[in-house]
Amino acid sequence: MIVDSLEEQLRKRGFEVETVRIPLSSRWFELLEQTVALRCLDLTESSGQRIDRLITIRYPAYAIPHPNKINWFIHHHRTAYDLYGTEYHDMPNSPEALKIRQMIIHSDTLYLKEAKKTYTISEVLVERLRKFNHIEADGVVYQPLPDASPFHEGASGNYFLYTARLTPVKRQTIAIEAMRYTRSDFKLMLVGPPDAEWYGNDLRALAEKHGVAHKVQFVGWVDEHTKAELTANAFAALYVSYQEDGYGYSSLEAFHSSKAVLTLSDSGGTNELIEHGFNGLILEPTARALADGMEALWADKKRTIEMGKNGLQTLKTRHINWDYVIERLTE
Amino acid sequence: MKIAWLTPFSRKSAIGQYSAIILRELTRHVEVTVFAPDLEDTQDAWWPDCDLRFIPSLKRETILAELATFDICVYNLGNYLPFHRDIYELSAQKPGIVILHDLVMHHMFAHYYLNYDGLHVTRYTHAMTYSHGQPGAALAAEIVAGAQFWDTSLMLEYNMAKWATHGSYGVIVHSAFAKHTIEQFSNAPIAHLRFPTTPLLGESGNSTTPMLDDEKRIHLITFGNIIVNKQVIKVIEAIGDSSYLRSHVKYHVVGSISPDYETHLNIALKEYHLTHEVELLGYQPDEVLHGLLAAADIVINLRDPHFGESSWSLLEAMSLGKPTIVWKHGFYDEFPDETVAKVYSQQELQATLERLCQSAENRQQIGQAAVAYARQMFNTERYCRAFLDFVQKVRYNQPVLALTDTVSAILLEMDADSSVSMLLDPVLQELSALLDTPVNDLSADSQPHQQSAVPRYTPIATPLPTLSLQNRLAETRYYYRRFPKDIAPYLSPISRQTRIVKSTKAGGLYNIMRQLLWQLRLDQTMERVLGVRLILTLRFFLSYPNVSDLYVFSTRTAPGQARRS
Amino acid sequence: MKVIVLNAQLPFVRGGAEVLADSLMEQLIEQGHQAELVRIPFKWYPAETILKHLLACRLLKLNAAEPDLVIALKFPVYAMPFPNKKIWLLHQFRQVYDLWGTPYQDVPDTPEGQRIRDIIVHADNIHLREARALYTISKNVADRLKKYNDITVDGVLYPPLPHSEIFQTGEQGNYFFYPSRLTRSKRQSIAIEAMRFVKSNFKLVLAGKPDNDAYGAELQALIARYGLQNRVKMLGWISDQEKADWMTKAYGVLFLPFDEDYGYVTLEAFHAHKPLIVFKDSGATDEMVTHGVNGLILDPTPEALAEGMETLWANKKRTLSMGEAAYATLDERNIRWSYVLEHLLS
Repeated sequence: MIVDSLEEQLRKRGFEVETVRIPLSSRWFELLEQTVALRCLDLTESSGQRIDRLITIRYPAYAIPHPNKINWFIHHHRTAYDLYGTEYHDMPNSPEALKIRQMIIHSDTLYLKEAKKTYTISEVLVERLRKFNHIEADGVVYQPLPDASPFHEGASGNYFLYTARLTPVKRQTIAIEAMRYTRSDFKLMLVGPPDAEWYGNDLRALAEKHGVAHKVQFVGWVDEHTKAELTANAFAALYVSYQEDGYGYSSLEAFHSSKAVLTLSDSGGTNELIEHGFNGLILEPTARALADGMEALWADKKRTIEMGKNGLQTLKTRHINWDYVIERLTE
Repeated sequence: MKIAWLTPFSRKSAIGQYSAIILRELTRHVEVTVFAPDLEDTQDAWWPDCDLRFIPSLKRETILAELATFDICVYNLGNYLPFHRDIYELSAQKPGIVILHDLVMHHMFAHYYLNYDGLHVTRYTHAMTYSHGQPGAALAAEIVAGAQFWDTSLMLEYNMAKWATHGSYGVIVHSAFAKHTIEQFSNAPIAHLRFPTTPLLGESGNSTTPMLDDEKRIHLITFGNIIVNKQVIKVIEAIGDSSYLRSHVKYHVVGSISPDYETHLNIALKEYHLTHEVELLGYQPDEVLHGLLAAADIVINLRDPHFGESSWSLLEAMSLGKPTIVWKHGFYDEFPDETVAKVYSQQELQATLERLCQSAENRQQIGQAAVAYARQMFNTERYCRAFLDFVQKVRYNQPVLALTDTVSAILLEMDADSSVSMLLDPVLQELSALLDTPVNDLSADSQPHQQSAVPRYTPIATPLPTLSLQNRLAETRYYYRRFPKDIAPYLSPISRQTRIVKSTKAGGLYNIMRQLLWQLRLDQTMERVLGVRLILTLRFFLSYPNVSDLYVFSTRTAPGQARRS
Repeated sequence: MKVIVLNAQLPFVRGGAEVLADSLMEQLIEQGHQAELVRIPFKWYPAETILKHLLACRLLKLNAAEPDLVIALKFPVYAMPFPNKKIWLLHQFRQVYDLWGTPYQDVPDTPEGQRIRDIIVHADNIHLREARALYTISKNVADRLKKYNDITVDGVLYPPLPHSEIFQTGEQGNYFFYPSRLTRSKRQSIAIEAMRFVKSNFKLVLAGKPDNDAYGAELQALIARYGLQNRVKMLGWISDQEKADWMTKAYGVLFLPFDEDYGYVTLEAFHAHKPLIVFKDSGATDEMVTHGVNGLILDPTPEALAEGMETLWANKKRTLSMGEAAYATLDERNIRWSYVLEHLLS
């Protein structure tokens, strides 16, 4: 999606853009051949027209050689990096796999360094590049919403909004459980379709089980316009996923709608956006702490509205807009 | 077609003379530009009127940019660093055809890595390992520690020709011996071309040179750089041991000799009482030398041990119709028995000398056979035709080698090695499948899907076999692993600009000290002050070897002996 | 079924191959399949780059999305390995085949170039045979495969016209219509010159943008020179709908390129029930046109063209029935998507 948005935004500003999508395998034993293939591609010119710039987004695209390459780095091949050795890695413990891992890190470093500039979409990635590849990124260029125009500030309603796919890693479970401990009469609104139908049902059952079904609203999938309205009139927003690389789009949607955002300390990328007490809260990853946080905001409406405005301000100070992105990438 | 021809071109260089002979004929068919590393202007050039560039006056980048505009670059390499350093370095940056004039290139590389601009033990060891495996590495260690093998047959065995020709698209040699040696490791096309015509062909007759008018003796001559393996000492011994020879011959030794060796020979002459019968004439200009040659009755052109060379001087002697005595091995044994007199022992040498001195008919027989053979075999036109055919073959195979080298460079960049050979196999297989162009492969045992139709185009030259490509891939990767800078020609221009080059300088306190001592030239000072023996012990810590030792060969070892420390 | 449509990608260039790939995608999705368009970048100069891209195609993997079928359209992507690979060939890398020896060969005629050529031919011989089925878009392309690679294709699948619904039949107007980019190889100049010899009062309408301004000016000058301003109309660039409208009311359609593999103009004319005039050296168009039945195949001269147009003009009834025969050709040659998909997906 980031690729489509980027293409659109570049076109809007008068650039001639062509998106190159290479079919890729993530099987560890095919990575070597694949990288050789990418190094063989010539994207310096097309039919006599020079290609002035190459913007690469993720592994292994940055392997493609070009004299004017810019990396807008969104992730490594994580199973060779931070997920290596955890339950998520897919490489066996053989000498070959070990060597492949070392080769990936080695050649990634080489190819990333070929670029004129390397930007990432979060501080987390800057740190990872530093740690694993000993590369100092040229800066963070946050990923804006594909289209921020529908989002606006509305009234300060009586529900906390959490927009995300219903799936374990997004932890709607904690939000539902938190509603057990809340006493005030605000609600929890969950917007987003379930990844799997049975999971959606599980969540409903969870709400029933805790006796909070009357306080939790399952909205399901909605179109952009409806989502913008729901966001505009929320009291505040939640984003409580587990260790995500970036912030969720819904955090941005909340800020664009001048709403404060509550997140948990282990949510990952969202933590970069939020300054506790300024434009939102960063809470302990427990249902009770989340409940306390929600109550605290509910108790001080004025402050919450101010925090919402600060959220909108954050978008400016962090340059989370396409003008900035394009400016950096086409410098 | 435009050819870049890199060669020493001053009158001090025999290869320069060879180049001038070839190019006069070659430029009748193709455009040639000469790049000379030993000239700053046309003065002293073998052929001043050709299209000539002077390497010392040009920046390396300029030369490389210009070389890129030629259809093929030809690098003349010989075992002498001052003339061939630039050419070697350029051949590594821009692959082309190497004409290897000396099979043994060890002296040049020892000079290059151990004496020229500091001590690069790692590079020297790597070059030896690449060329000769673990035994090469072991010998390199011994040499670095002070062993002197420069005039022994170890040089032939550890010739480093593989290093001289690495990465090239084609190799030309002038003897079957050299071709056979290079075939053992080369993955590029090789051609054995016979020498061109020497200007001396057919000139004969006795010129009246005062020096030779002497008691109707039989005049023997040995000429060229007088080095140990030319075995002048053996000739002296043969004359000394034979009363017949003593009273019937005059032996002229013409060519530069190191002072040490000259002393050594003079001692031998005194011992044998041959100071009248043998004269060491030192270096003589060509006109004088040619006069002496013309007037001589027998030419003695021994090499023992031989270094795989193709002797231009033998060619000159044969072209003049002179019976020549040679040692029976290598290049010299490739001539028919009736055209040269071959000996393989001291007794044979003496007996052959006596026989030839006694029979003018015998001498004439061999001499005539020699000139007839020379006329037939050593033909500049034929050389050029064969050369141009070879260039076609090389150019036809160049895309294949170039792509293999590119893939090697990519794999090296990724730090691939043999531990992932299972994962490299698919790459090698696809590369081989792509580049292995069978010619009319309709044999019964080929897979149906491999059977191509009769190709619409007939290949203009023989494609390389697959095994060559795989070898090249493996070896190029091994070579380039150590010296990332050298893979520059094979990377895309983009990669080349932005490569992270690992430093290859030797590290560690030990090597730093060595470098320092070399800088101070302590070895030479101490030699003068402390004498020879102590130096051999201290050599371990100091720069090694001395240039003087390399090329004019040390007299500290008894000739023919291999000494191991 | 999960299908991958595989095309070569020349950044910033959109031509017939891209149109075909998009049409195929549309049709597959309409039929309820999960289709994805995969494009691999390709650059053919300097010649060594061809080999690198060819190698890249052999090393890249298509299995990540676990497709059931891969349909490849062009060089070098048809070299990509896949068990269930079918090829619907637009054209080979003609530069090393029928264009070798012409100014368009692109690969230099040096020993190095010849080797690269030989490698490509050898690779094609193997990779084209790897496919489970090999179809081409015209008999012309199939013949070339037989001639140069000794391959007999499994059939010819003519690409149907995308959005054929806009082409309807209409009245017989008073002009002959020739829609195509204005470029030398399309030979609009011969059409203009032909109007000099025309006595009857029909017109010539040209539609299309010139490839470069110089050529456009050249054509205008030609019109002026022979005083044909009232007989020849140049529309410039028009939209597809406008083109369909002009076609509907044309008397007949011209398509006069030099040795082209395929042209949608042919199909557009047929869908509009109009007879098509082509030249003898126009290339694959003679697979579609039978002289006197659904159109005319003429000598590539202005005089012959003028005569041909006059002949049609003289007999309205016959021209009308030729138009019907033209429409029937679509069916005869199976130029419809159902036929194409039937073969590609079987």
